[in-house]
Amino acid sequence: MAEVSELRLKLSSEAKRTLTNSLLSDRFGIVVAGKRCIVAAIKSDSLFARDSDPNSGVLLTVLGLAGSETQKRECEAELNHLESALKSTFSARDLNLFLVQDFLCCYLEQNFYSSKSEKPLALELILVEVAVNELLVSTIKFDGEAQPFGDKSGIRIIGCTDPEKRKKVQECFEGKNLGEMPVKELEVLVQHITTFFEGTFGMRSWNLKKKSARAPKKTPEKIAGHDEK
Amino acid sequence: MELAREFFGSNFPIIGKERLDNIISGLKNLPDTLTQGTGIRSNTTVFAIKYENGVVVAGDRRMADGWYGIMSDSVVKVHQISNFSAIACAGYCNVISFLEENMTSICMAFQERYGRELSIDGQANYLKSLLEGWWFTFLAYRYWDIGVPVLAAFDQIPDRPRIFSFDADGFYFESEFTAGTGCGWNSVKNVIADRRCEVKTNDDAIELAVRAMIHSGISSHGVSDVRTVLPKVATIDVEGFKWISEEIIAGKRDKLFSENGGLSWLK
Repeated sequence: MAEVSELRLKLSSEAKRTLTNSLLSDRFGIVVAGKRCIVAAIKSDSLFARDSDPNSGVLLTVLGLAGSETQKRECEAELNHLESALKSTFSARDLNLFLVQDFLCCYLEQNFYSSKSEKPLALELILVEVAVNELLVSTIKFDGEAQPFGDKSGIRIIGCTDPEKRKKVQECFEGKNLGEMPVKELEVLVQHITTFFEGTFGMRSWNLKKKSARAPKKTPEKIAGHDEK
Repeated sequence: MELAREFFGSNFPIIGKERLDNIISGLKNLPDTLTQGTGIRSNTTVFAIKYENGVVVAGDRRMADGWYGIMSDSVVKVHQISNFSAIACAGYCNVISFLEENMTSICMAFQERYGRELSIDGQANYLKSLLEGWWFTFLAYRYWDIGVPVLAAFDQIPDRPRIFSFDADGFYFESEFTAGTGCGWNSVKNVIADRRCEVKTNDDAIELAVRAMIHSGISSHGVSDVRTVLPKVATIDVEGFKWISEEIIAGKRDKLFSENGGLSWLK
């Protein structure tokens, strides 16, 4: 075992990337944006889903793709530590997508992908935040690279290195106006896509509440009063 | 001590000589500004009043030099710390500056890094942690000598005005209608409470703030007099923080002085 560890320590970043990609080749995750909704499906042995308190006005969800059960639990425990530390300094309400994304990027990079970490990890994450009139999605790769989900196609495919299967998935969306698809229709479509793959799939969908009229945010006035003092 | 125990019962704490000596030696080691009372401070009346769709924050303009001197009558004691919040403090200016600068920078840094404004609960909790560092100042004999803030804000989730009141050592609570601090606060809190039911709009709240400031100015030497120096008044609502113009404040003052009865005798 010790020998294996030593060998892994010696793995270069490039080798880790190759190994991680091969681990992820069997995995598949998809996030699709519809009409004021998001639907995500993940092929994973154990779905790691974490929802923040909806009473705070913001629903934050983290979904994990691939990775072992232990790795997912470790990640979840670290997120709990973050929430606890944030709560004691500020408030649980301040746990937002960008903060969690920032934290998880560092966590994945430091713990699994740096030259000092023992082994690469196939864990990839999907972060979704639903606020009063916002719906934000971000995906985080195994090496800590975060990508906001906002491309024009409205589709993000995660894992799945098989080009043929990727093409097949893309074909399902051809000629469809995703921006006009309600959540029910989108769920049916994503359900259909999951049949291309073997294994257990977990699916989640989020609806965005109707926009409320609100005045635009102002830029902060430059510390009024300090100059006058 | 025995007399005290007799009077208050057995629950009265016994302070041993050693403990008492420690407290006294601690007092001797406090910064000069706290022990001798010669530091620059704002004796102050600052307060916040809620109305239906927002909150009004007001502060007088006087900064004292030592016990009785006036260093300035043009200080601004209401400080915007984020788009939707402001603090107003009374006490030693070094503590007040420390609180204001830290609160402003943490709010700006959070917004810049995470694209969101620090929540009002988060701001209150952080302000509490800043005050905890000054816990020893509770040894001073008047709590507003230290740098006690009032945090006023408009919370966007859900849309509602909020006011937090703090103690010198960090304890805080959310006030229902009004909160204030400073040497003049005791003189005006009943004036404000008395008109609570009349405050519906922003205009009502501004008028009440000016009225309270007039009372404060005539009852405390540490507070600037509205007859000569207009207070600073700001409002925070769904559109954010904005100052109330001096013309409006002067108009309210003149109206209150010209009313039959009431404050007309002060004119």
